[in-house]
Amino acid sequence: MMKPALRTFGKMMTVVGLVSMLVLAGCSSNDGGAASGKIRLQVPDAAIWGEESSALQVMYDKFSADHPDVKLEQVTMADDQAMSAALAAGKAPDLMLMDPSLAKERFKSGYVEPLDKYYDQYGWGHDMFGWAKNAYVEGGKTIGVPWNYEGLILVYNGTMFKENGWAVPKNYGELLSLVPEIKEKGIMPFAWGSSDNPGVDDWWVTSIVNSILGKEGTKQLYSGDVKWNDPAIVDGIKRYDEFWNAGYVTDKKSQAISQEDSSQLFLNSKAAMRLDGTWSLAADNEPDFDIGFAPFPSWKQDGEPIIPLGVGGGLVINAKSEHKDEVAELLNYFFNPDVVKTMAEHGIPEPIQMDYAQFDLKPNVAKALNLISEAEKTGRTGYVAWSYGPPSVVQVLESDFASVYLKKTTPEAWLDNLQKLKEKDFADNRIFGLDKY
Amino acid sequence: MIKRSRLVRWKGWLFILPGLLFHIFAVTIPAMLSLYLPFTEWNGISMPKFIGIENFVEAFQDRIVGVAFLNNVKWMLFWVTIPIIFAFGLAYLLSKIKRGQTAYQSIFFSTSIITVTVAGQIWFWLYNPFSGVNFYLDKAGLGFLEWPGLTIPSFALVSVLIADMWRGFGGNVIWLLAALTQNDKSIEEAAKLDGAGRFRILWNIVLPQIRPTLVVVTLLTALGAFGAFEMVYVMTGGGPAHATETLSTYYYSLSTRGQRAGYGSAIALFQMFIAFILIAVYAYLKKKKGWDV
Repeated sequence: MMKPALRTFGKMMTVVGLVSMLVLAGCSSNDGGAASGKIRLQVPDAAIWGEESSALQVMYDKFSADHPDVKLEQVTMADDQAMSAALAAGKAPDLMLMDPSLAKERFKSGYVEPLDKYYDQYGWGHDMFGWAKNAYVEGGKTIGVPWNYEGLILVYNGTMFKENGWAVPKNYGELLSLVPEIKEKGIMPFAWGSSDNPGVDDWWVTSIVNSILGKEGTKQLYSGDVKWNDPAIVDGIKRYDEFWNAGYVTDKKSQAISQEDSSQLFLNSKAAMRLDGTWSLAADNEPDFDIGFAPFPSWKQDGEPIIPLGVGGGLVINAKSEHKDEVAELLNYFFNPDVVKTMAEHGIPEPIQMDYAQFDLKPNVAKALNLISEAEKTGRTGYVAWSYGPPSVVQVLESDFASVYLKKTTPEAWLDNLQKLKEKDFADNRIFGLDKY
Repeated sequence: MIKRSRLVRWKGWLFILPGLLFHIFAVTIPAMLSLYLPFTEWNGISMPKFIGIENFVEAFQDRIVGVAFLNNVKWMLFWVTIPIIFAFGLAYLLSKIKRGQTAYQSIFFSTSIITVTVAGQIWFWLYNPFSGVNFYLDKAGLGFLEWPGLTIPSFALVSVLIADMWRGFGGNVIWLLAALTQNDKSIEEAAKLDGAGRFRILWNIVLPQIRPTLVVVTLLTALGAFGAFEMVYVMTGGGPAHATETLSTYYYSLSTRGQRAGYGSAIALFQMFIAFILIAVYAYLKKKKGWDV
């Protein structure tokens, strides 16, 4: 006969044992079909950015049709924090979507695989724009495939402009003479919203510095000798401060509405213009007026407009992946004509030499892409700060520009701080070498 | 006999062992590590680099830390006054009614079961200057009643606080109502017979009886206020121009977007220090003043 206490203990241990088995079974690694002879690759969720990322599905389908022995498992990473945790735990996907600055930090920590041998093997670099590829160069190694290129442009209500006989402004002088006319009609000159994402204010700063300094000057500002507190930049930022406080941007309420709200103000003809990026073409809005696209007016009194370009993101291979060659083979399908076409259709073209006239693009997408092509031919393009700016500077651009136009600080003090941060990034070797090409 | 009594003594430990192990690995060890991180430069990806007290020096010079700290103080002062007084008033009135008390309780508590994300979005829409309440007030010729909402930075924090109070006060009503129903009614009756007025009864009879609950509710509210994050993050993300920034939203954005997890940890440690002070004040009141629960 067992004593009652021992019997209870025995029962308890049985329960603990069973629970442990269940927990261990749950924690054990999934062989992901290895037992069935299939290689399993974890890849980014094709629906993560809606239409904007739908080209991934085309790429996966094409690859899967040709490689029945490889199973693709789509994984959703909620945000960069989740990705960091997954990388640290060794559980990150084999293929990852990552913006250039994060990719570089993670490459330095050994999480991202250099792709030079695959660039050579597949010839990815042949038709790729050098400036786009170089967004993913760190320490002399190419660490990613840039996903798309995107430009900051002026989007305007073409019908409204035509009906009122307004000309599309090219510089600050023309802009200043136009906006009072628009206001007199009871229409907002610019629709803008940043409450949900102060980071979008970076677009204005990008537009200002590119149009004031030009292409070469912007390179020097991001990576060279031009200082953020250069008098020309101070003037440009002051100009925007005055412009915003005159009520030309969402009636001085841009900080109280979201980007989506501001988009609705434009689409409902309550605003005449927007500063927008080509990525927004993926949303495929069809308002009851003609949408016009133009380079955003220069912030110089009588300057010429410029279109800042950048890389929206990129695909990188996990350095801990057990199937790097297979992932590279999958990545090669990113350059499949059908994938290239899908990307272009959504207004986020791959950064490669391509004749887009061969595709049957929607009129708005064709207009915007032609605009960028023309600007590239004439050398009137620049660089977006979020792809090429010093990381610490970009962090402030994406969180604190409102402090300037809401008068919490002065343009001079704000720009002095940016210059200090740039110098710190220089000292920490975190500067992107934009001035080197 | 000795063996059996030892077994009985250890049985309790065996029961708590799974939870204890989980706590050690999921809470204790990370908490110990978080005491080290404030003294490092760490981007959240690479290995942390020890830099001594540099993060703390920077934090004391950081204008935004000062703004965030003041906002936390304002947030706490608001929450331990207006919503608690309001909640007590409602709970007191509810304790006096005989019929429909449960229905009223449900109504007051209903906002508390709405998730912060949804509540924040509702209030964000209400404050929208182009389609929210102000827009319709303006249309109706009642523009003088407009509330600036999030359009003026100095009103932004109060606007978010109103939204947070709307969502959270119901919980305090329930707590205080539960305490009021436990009160000894005979003392109130006796006071009435002695000619005490309503206010005197409230001040000298009702409030002292519910003081333990009131102290706990106030302490929990104050601690919660110092960790204010969700409603701010959902509605403004700390903006505009840091007008609604709290310590939590600031170190969150530093640690994630800013890739400065080491510096963010230093600010978080400062916030924890404040929480300890609040708990110490409570412990003092409990021990020295006899405000026992």
